[in-house]
Amino acid sequence: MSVAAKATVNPFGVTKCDDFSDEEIFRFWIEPAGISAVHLLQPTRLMPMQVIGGKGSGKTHLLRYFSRPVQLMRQGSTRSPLVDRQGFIGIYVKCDSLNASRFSGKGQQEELWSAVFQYFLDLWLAQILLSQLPNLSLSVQEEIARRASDLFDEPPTDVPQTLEHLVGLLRGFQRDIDIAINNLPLTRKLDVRIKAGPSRLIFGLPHILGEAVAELRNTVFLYLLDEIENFNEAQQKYVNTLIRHRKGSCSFRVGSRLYGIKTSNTLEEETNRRGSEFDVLELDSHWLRAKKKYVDFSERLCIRRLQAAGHFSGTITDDRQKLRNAFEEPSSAHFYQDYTARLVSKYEDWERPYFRKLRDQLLRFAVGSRRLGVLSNDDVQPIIRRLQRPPYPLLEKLNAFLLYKAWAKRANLQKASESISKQCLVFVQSGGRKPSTYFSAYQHFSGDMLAQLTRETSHKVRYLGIDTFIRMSSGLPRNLLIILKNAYDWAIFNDEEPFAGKPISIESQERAVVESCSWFFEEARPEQNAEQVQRSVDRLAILFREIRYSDKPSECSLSTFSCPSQDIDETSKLSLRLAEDWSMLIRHVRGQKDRNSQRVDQKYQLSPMLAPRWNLPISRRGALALTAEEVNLIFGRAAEADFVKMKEGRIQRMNAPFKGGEPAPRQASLEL
Amino acid sequence: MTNLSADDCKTIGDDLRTKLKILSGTIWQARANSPQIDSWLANFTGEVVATDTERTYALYLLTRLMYYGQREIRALLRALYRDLFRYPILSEIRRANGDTKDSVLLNNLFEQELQATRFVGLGDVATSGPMLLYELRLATELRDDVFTTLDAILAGKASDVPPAVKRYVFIDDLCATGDQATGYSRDLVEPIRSRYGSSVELLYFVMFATAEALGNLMPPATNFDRVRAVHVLDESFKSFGPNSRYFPAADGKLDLATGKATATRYGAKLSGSPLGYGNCQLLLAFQYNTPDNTLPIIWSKVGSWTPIFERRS
Repeated sequence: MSVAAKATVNPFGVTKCDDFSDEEIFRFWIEPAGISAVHLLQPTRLMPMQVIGGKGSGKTHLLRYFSRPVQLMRQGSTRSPLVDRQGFIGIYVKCDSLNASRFSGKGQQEELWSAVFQYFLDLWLAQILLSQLPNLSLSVQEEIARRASDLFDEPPTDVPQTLEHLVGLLRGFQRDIDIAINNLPLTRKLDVRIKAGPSRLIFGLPHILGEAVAELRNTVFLYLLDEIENFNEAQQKYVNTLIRHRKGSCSFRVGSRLYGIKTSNTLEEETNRRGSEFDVLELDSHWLRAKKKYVDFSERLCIRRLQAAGHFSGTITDDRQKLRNAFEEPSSAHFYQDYTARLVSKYEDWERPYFRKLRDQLLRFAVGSRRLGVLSNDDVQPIIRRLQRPPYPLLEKLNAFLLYKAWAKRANLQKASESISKQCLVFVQSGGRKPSTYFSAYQHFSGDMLAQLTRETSHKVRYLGIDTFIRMSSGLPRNLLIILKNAYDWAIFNDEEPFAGKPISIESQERAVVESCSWFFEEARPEQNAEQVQRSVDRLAILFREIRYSDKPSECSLSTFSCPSQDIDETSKLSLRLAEDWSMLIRHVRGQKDRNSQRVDQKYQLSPMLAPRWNLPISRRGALALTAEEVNLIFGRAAEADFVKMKEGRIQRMNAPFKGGEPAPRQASLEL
Repeated sequence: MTNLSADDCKTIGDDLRTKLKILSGTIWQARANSPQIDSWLANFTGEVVATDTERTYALYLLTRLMYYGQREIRALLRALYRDLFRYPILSEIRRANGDTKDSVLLNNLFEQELQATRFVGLGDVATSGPMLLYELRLATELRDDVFTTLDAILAGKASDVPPAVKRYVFIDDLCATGDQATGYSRDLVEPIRSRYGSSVELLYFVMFATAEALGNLMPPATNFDRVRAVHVLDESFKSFGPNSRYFPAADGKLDLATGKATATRYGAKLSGSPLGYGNCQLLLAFQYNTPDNTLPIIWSKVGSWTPIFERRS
């Protein structure tokens, strides 16, 4: 019988804040660095705001943090003054709990549903608002309840005397609607009596409260509508109408996924415009712009979880260091000497695979070329020998890469190998600082060469360490939590003691990354055209991969492409938009300037969460300039054979013997 | 029999390990983690097909193992009490009282029936049957006085024999061949029948049983008046049977013949029944023990073999 491992609770087990209580929302809140949450959401500002972000970007946590129950926790006591210095009351509602899809179809006209939905939403929001109020004197309650009754076009026969009565009355009206909808299949008639005009309760109640309760006089009533993507277009139009015709001290913060806003129009078909009727807070873009702040935020997020689980208890500086040390990573010292020595250890008695490949290629394609300086088979060995630097396999890979570059330019390979050899020697002797050309090549391509070396020696390309995981999450904190949750689970499965003993092993991290990557790929499935989008992303990634693992990659750390806006067919445009909406592609708003025409092209990066699926880099450096035709072959409906033809045409120029001509340089050239 | 390619071993192996990680972290309650699994895999040394292929099959069989922890066992015992005992009695009471829906009457009459029932564990004190009684009591919150032992019954303890009692319910965890239960019937239950005749009803309720074993135990083959199981294991649970639910697997890459040959080869070194007692070929383990009807490669500790879910004799 095996020994039972100790039971453990994964500190990253909760990855959706829907699973958090209000108390946990408060406890696990991490204030963004540099700019406070109050500044981001501006709760006392009357200008409405859309809070847009990908799945797991933190929208719900942000909105719930400003909800009334958490507001009270921030004040330190539920007996605190009514509104105190915060100046607002956050009325949080999750749109999916409304089950809004009920309000359509079933043989009823859409206009009818629209009116019923508006009434239902008003009743719902009014109840939540009233339930947030603390104890008020009976006389004040009576005044509020009496005046609220007047908001109804058909005043209730039994005028409520207290807030409890009033909420009960609203609940009763709402229940009448539920019953009418539930019985629709039997009655075939939507038998609902609308007793108050649209928005009357939503704007009327705050007005009454402001007048009846002195402490609420200058208070903003902030409706926090989360997950608005659950509303259909007609329902969103009502919300847009409320935003456009906002009254008094009411305002709105509307949370939505990237693809969730279905319309900007109101019920009167007027268009709400960004900057005029509403502002937009784009959470992912905010983090992508503020990379250092995102790193800081992410680290504190992890530390908070680990502290809550009892793993960490030091100062933030100590815990940051502990977090960093909690993951095993190969040392990059001496050009990854230890790590790469292990990779090539099995080739002690054989030629290292990259030199064997180069030798074969030279013998096959270069022998007999006077221009290349390879007249006979005997000329090959000296070239290889000059590139060898046995203690530093990574530098050997770089040397081979530089020789391929020279070959592509049809340079004399004898001279080129001599030059590379000298530069490599100086580079090693200078501790990796000189000469500048070699240094630059190492700076740009060491990541790709390390990946190639790993793959050529039949090892997995690795994504390790907290910095890598944060970068992979690309502005979506849930992605980070998923990776860490899986890393923790794998470490426990492997009998490790995560965050308590030795660092989490490379194997546990590797498996966690693979699992997280698969989860993301499956999760990021658009509701429409999912197969088309996934196939497109797959094609793009395959193109990137073949370039990265070619003899002479045209770009370093390739995970990005640029393309013109014109001449992209409709299918490709849709695929691009859906891939972006579902966070498979990240669009860079500034675009990329085309070198020849100076035209500003669109620029997209493959999500770093997906990079491990194709052994691609998670950092972004070079960008592949694609033509509109190529984009259509990748993202459109082109046959696989056409895509493969285009891909091979491109790759041919990057693999020995480099047929198809040298493409125009797209980034700083590394002369040798 | 075919060897898997290195790529297939890796791809399938990675997928299986992900499943095992989830099993270990949930159902298995960390009882078999990666190091234990690796030690177990080291038993497979390429005697039938390539080592990596054998280990991939072993990993696959391990992911198919049905493991029942304490929580699941209690859930099964609750189901046993509710579905095999309480509901049928309530149904009889209702029929006998003009299909009444009077819950007070039904509950009172059921209480009387329960009071006249004794739950008994089959087997010796150290075996699983009596141990299950304790779990049954916790799972159902039944009173202590409805549980007894064979010794108390045979000793004629007044509160545990007719006329105070009119029904004995024998509880067991698994009946795979029926051999053991038939033996119990002959050696332990027969004396009760002889002494009290048909004045007592003798029921045999088990958490798991194969369809074949259930058939073997039905009266008049045994002294039991009724034999029931919560979960009947049909032919598909026989790992390498013609109707096995486990093969082929991994898009047809894992075939029954290779799996069977591997399990048989190593199983023969471990047990006289290479594929489990009675050739049951089961993949079943309980938190407190592993039945010998499960493949011996899972539980045996013979020689240098490292088990993954050891069977305690």
